[in-house]
Amino acid sequence: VLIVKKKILAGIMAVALTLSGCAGKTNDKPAANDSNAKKTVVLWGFSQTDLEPIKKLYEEANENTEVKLVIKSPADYPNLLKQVLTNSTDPDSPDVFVMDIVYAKLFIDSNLTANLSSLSSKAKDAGIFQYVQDIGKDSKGTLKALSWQSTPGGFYYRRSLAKEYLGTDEPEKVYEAVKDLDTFKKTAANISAKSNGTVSIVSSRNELQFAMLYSRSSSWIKDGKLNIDDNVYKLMDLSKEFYENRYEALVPKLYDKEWYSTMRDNYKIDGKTQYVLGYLLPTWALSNHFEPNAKPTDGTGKDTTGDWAITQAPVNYIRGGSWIAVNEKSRNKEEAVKFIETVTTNVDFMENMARVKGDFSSSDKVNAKLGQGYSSAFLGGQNPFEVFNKLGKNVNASNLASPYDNVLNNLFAEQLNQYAIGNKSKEKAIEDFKAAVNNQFVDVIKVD
Amino acid sequence: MKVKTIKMPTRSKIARGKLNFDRYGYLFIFPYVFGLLTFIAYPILYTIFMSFTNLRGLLPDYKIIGLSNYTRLLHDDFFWRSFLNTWKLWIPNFILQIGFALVLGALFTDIRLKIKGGSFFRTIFYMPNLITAASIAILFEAFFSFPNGPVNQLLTQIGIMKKSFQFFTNPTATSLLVSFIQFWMWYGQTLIIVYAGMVGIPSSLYEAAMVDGSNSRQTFFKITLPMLKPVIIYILITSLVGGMQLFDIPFLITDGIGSPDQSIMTMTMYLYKHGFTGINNYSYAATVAVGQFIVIMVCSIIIRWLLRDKDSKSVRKGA
Repeated sequence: VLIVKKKILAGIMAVALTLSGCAGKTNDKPAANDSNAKKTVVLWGFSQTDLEPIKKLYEEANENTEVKLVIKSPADYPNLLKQVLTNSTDPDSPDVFVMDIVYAKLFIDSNLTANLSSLSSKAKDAGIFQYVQDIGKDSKGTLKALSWQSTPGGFYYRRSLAKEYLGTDEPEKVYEAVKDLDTFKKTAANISAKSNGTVSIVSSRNELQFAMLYSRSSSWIKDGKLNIDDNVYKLMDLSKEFYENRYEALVPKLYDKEWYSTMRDNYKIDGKTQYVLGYLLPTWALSNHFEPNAKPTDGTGKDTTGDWAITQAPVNYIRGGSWIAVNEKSRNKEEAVKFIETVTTNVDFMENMARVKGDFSSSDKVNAKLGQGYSSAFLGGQNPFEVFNKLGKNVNASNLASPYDNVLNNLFAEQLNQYAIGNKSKEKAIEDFKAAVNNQFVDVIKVD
Repeated sequence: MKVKTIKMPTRSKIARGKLNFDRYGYLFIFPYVFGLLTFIAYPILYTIFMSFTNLRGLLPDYKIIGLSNYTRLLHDDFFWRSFLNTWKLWIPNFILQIGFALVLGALFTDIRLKIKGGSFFRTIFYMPNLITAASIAILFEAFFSFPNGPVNQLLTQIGIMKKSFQFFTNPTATSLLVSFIQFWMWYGQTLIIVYAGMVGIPSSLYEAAMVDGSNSRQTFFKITLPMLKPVIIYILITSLVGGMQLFDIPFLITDGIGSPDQSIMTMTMYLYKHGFTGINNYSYAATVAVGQFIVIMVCSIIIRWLLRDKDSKSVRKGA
């Protein structure tokens, strides 16, 4: 009897173990779509706060549609996107997905994104900025992605410091002091001299980096070759000068604690307070960074709300920006295209969205409406949309995105930094940058 | 035990197929073998296979291109630099680690000192190993941050430095810092192994030495160290294998790019850079992985050979 029992037990255990070994092979077929049931659009992105309001507004406007958000961490996002788009058996594979400007071109130029040329006339009618449309086009000029936002950059500054060191806090007059790179440099030197080095014109040379790179006339890659735009060389000189003369406040990282403390006059180097006159940053910095951090929420520094203003920057740049595209393999293409159409070309919807999100829209028309009679207490009564609109129209960013900007920018920043702090000559830095590009991109980007 | 009283079936019965327990054995080991083949053997073989192809980019189509990835690897300055970087990070970390472990181990096992609470301290020293690398990286970044990190504040306030120092723009400082973190995370582990090795040394040897009038230092160098040699070799090899695969701390502390100027780009980070950024050059990343494997193997063999027990044969004969 015991033997039989043992035999049964052994059998059960073996079966159990075998089952546990290959568990997970259960049927996972998605339920067949009922025609009456809700339609679902799966939207992939890397920022919950950015996409949540869009989902909500879209579902309110289209009661039959459910927007399913799939949010991944920004660092892993491009790779996960590559994986899910190239073998899309995953039921969560996106119908629509968000791409950051630094890698958007990679997907736009591939056959993983669907043709959206049916939307191009609508985009024109909605007054979408030309550069937003151009970056959304592949190398043959087919529209494949659009954006609901536009991110031109300006020069934010502190009114009180401007009054003290530039003699005025009027945006137009302050612009006179920063209207081009030479004037900007002179002003930087003046402020530094007048204040005995305690006031810097920018928080960090990192700001210059993005302003200069994203105001280039050409991208890192031109005809399959590494292309070093004039702005890149100018940026190297500027960075070195700003570092050596301490025109920057040496903040090591943007968007962190030390950086925020500069906004409350509470940033100290070696025990001495270092003041920052201005910041070269885009539209979104206003609601995302300045407004929340100008108040001493942690009880340090002083409240500078109302002491801010924005004017045009020495160069017309953009910084960041998200484009959205349709997955070519989506089983839900019609819905997906409709989603993009609403979110990026429907002026009324976009106006609503921009108000909820506090975004600067990609549509000229929407921005004009948003700007009407608006005045920001934070900016001392200034209407930021007037400046934003001017910035948006001046931007000529059509050609400056390459598929590998996220890597190329980093490789360059390494060398830029080494040159700026004096560890390398300019020639050596450029040479090392070229070698690094050649090493990583072999025959994809040719290097002279 | 009851089992002993059971009359087991005879061989002939099993052979007739009625009660064949042998076959169940295969079922029992199946899950493990299945896991081994799927998650270990297959990836290794596939990696080796990939290194002979040109697989890369968004789409999974590739050609077999023979050894050209390997010729590239041999002449790849960046790879060899990452190899040197890895050693540069590992050596100071290992010296500190084994040094601390030996000294602490000797103190804890010293029969003359009889330190109390040894296990308490061993637990404390092991603690850093329990924190995830990500937290440690963030912690140290904050500690050494410019210009107002605690370390900078301390050093300027007590007057060692006049100005705050940017640790993370200086290659030497960054690499020493990474070495230090590695040491700090792992010396507890090493200490436990060393301690176990020291406890295993027969106390009669120490007693004999005491009777002969040797002091602590003499017993350490003449008895403890020689007796510990196999343990030290074990630590050396495992630490080397782990150290050559170093990834998390340098990756996290430099935002994944090995800055400043790629000075702390380790071999695994180099692999990651090729495989998972830019053009996703999977085949070359696979080649780097195989290269890394070969390098680690060669180094281990060399170390074993250098530290081989030259008179082990005679000892064995004597025993």
